[in-house]
Amino acid sequence: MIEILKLVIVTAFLVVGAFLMLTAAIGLVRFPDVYSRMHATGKCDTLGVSLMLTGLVIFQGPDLVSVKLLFIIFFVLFTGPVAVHALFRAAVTRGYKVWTREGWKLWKKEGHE
Amino acid sequence: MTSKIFSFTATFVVMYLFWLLNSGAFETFYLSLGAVSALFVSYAFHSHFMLIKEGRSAAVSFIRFIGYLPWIVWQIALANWDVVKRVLSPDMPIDPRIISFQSGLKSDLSMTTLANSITLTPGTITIDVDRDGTFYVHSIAQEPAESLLTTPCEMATRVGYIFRESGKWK
Repeated sequence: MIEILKLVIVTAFLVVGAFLMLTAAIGLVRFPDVYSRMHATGKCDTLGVSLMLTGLVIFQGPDLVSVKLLFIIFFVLFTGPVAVHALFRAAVTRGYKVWTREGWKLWKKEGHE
Repeated sequence: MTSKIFSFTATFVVMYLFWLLNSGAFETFYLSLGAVSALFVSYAFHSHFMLIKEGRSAAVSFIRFIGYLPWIVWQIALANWDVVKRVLSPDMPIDPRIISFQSGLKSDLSMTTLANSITLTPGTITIDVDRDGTFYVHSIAQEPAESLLTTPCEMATRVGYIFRESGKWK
């Protein structure tokens, strides 16, 4: 019984994590500019990976492998935002324009569509 | 001098614990190998590794940081739900904008913590931080920006409380 419960919890973690990664991928394709794309990938990837690893920790049970997985979760949570900052800074320095709703309306009014 | 001894000892302890947890082998040979490596690492890097130089304030900050974790984890969960909604809804309700606000934080460590927290929470990403504590934030829509623009800002106050730069958030 306990085994089944454990498997259910592990599966739930893995499924939610995978769903978040999928959402990040869809957001990467759907969002209009480089900055809003980073919103999708930066957040969902960080939590998606953490959740999947948490599921693996529960599956493994308390031993040294779990400790190593916990270290990986910790480092992913810290390096995820830093990687996003680095990308963001690079995009800003290169002068990429921010997509805005007003600009988009203007662009459509000028007859591009 | 005492701060040097403190940062050296603290680095050594953390590094040695890290070694033990990663190796899992408790023979004398491996234990001494770990001690030598930890000594070398803490000799070379203790001034970079320990960002808070004094034992007491480091302990206080650590305990307060642990208290901050449940709140930030909940915010991360909300952020992901927010992004999931925006990505999957057919009309894609986004309206990106760049805002700036004054956080009132002073030390590097607290500003780094706040910048990372902003990036992980709903709809906002830190672009740049000025020396005087001004944050430039890219926000995906109007509502996420507003929670940061209220004064006093909840997140800045909470982070300031960890590093003893502001009072407790009610």
